[in-house]
Amino acid sequence: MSTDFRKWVCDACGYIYEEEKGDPDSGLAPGTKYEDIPNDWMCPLCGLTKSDLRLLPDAPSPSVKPVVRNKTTTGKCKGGDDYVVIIGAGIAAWSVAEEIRRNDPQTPVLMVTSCEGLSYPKPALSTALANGKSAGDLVDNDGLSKAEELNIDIRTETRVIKIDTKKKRLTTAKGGIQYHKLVIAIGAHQRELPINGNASSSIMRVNDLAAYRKFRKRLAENVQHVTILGGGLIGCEFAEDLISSGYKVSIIDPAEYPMANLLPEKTGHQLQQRLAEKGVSWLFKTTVDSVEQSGAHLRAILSDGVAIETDMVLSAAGLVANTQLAAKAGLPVNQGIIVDRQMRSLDADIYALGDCAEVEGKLFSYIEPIRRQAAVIASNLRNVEKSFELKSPLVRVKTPSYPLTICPPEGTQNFDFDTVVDESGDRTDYLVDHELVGFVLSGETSKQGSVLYKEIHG
Amino acid sequence: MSEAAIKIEDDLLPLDKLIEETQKVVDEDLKPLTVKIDLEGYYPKEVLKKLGPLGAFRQHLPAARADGETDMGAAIQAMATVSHECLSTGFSNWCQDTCGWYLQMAANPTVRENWLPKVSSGEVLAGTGMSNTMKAFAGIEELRLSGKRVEGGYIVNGTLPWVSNLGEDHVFGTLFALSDEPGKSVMTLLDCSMEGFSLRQSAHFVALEGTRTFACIFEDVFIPDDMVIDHDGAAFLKRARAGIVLLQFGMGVGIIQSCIDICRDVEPLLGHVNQYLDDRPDELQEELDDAVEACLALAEDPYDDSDEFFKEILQLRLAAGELAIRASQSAMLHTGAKGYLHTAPAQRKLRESYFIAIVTPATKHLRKELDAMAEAA
Repeated sequence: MSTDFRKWVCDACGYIYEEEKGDPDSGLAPGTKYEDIPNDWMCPLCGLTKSDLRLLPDAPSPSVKPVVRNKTTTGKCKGGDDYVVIIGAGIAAWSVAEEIRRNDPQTPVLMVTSCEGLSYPKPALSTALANGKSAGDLVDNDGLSKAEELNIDIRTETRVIKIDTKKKRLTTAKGGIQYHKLVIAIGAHQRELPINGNASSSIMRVNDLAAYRKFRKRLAENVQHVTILGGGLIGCEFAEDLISSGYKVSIIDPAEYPMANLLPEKTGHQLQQRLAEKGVSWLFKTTVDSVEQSGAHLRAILSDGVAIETDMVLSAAGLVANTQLAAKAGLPVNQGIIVDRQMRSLDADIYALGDCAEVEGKLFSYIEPIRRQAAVIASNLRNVEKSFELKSPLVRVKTPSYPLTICPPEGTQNFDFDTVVDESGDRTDYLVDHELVGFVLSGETSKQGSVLYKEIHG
Repeated sequence: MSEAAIKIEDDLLPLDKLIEETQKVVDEDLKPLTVKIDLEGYYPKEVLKKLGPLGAFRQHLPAARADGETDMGAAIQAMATVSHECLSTGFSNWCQDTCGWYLQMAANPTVRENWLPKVSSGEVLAGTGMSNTMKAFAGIEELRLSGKRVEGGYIVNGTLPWVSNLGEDHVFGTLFALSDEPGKSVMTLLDCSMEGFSLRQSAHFVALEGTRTFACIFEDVFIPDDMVIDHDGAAFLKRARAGIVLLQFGMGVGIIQSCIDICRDVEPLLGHVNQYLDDRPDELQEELDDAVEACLALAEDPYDDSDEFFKEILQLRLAAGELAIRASQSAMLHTGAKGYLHTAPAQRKLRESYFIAIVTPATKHLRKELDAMAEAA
């Protein structure tokens, strides 16, 4: 009569005890059943005990679901003495790569980025919901394909830890990278507000696609009410996008009206009113002290003691340039990495542009100046001297219920205001000696932005 | 942290002096023992007892330094100096450093005040039973220890295989699950002389035999609150994980450099033919130098507990395991039959190097965790 011998596996080391064979070295004769193993028996491989043995199923274990992603991260290029290396893969970085290739098919270019290197229109992040687009829909190209199109190399998921300006070498956790010329395009991050509370770590900050993906994932998790910290451009755009998609929204801002750094008071109040009509609750002249878990919801407690029950807190308190890497390399930084009008840092082989760069005391965080900066860098890289023209950007605010086009005036001198109120929208001109130096257009009028911008900047 | 409660009498050697003195201990005390450690499993207690007073085990522990600084880079470099000669001893050095790190990062000041001076000076030798913990938090296996809250402490049961640098008079840090509170765990220091706790010698390994590696059996071990490092194990691990993995680079850097040096040593005689090999010493050296740069840069702030930072460390850790294997393979091929001798360093390095890729977090563990991180992003 055959006995049903079983097999047991040691949980710790994988040793298999077969009852049929026993463990003669430890005194267990062939045929010793699990029940008959003495309690002081030790696993011959790892020393654990009988109680660590688990029954080994006869059937083979269900096949492991294969990992879909690459086992080894793609991209092995280590740069070289002739390489232009671009750190970053945002609009600024891709713009530089495109500008270089416009006139120069040859120079080896390597893009190194800590993210996946996906190419997507960043301004679309704050309007995707209402446009019915998922985070994935925003991607117009993956980094590898785009790099291939441009005939450049790319290293994704590779963060630059250190720049050695003497050796012209970048340190990463995946090996060193040599450069001839370096372009820093590592952008900015959302300012982190000092907020306490046991749920303060749940505060979301969205400034790239990866963060936006998390934001959308969270939104789908039974979120009804979103509290936005900061009623600036990004806060207002997100507010309208959320409210148009059926979410309830509160905006908290320490100023007296929305977008106070870009809009005259009257226009600011108009925007406030239009968004309020759509359902946005505004709380001005206050800040959030803490965010606490409150059952399945969150509770934001304001500096004036008011508590708001909410499901998500989204912080849009302004951008802070990523300067740490450059500062550690000994490059001068202020609000951003300091560059001259050629977009060169103190080290003539290192350029910077976009949200992380500061030109003559100013940061240029909008798309239009970034494209011009990229062209300047590409030109200077092929030794055709070119300078970045400091002109205020044309800013379009994507709040459909009250669209705005703004050309903020340069400098800090006092302006004359001239506001024309019209049914189709308001127009505020900023004047110095009767000359137009900037404007704010709202509603239908905002469409005249490009024409007016040309009047000022040609 | 009430660091002031710990009295620190002397000051530390400057880094170059520390390395010089460590090298002296390696040359005079460790070198004559290396083959014995490797082939007979001899535990070089006397070497560890000499490294402690040099300050090799407390560079990264502000609570054990008069200046209150954290110099994880110095701890790594001292460990690399030891690992260059013998990875077995280098691993014991890591165990000691890491247990000190647990105490440094303890939420409970009492356990730190009671034990950090002894562990950081090498007066008490210490291990770390966190392999299971790290694998459990990466979803690879279950926590093997489980505890119950009782008055004044916890009662812990379970078994841990293969915990190193242990002995009757040693301590080690480990983490156990709370059986009554699913998902909760506790980080503790364990004194190997505690009642209900026993060590068992088990299997033999192909290398690193001189590390006093035992299976740990917990039978109703009472752990008083004074020994608890953090009642919230998950929070502790998040705080401490960067330092734990960073310190391992001391082992990796040491063995990789020693393999490169073995290749270089035979260059005058064999360079004419070795030039046909892959992974030549200069190539390996460049990769190692880059990795060291990265490691020292990351080691500047081991208190960063963000996922982004940990991801960098895991990437570099993965690279170190892969480079260690390539370097030892190269040492074998560069030395040829001479390296194939029973007592040759090259063949020992070959066996030792796999430890870097196998010890937790192992290559497959790292790839899984990095993959999960990419997925979550």
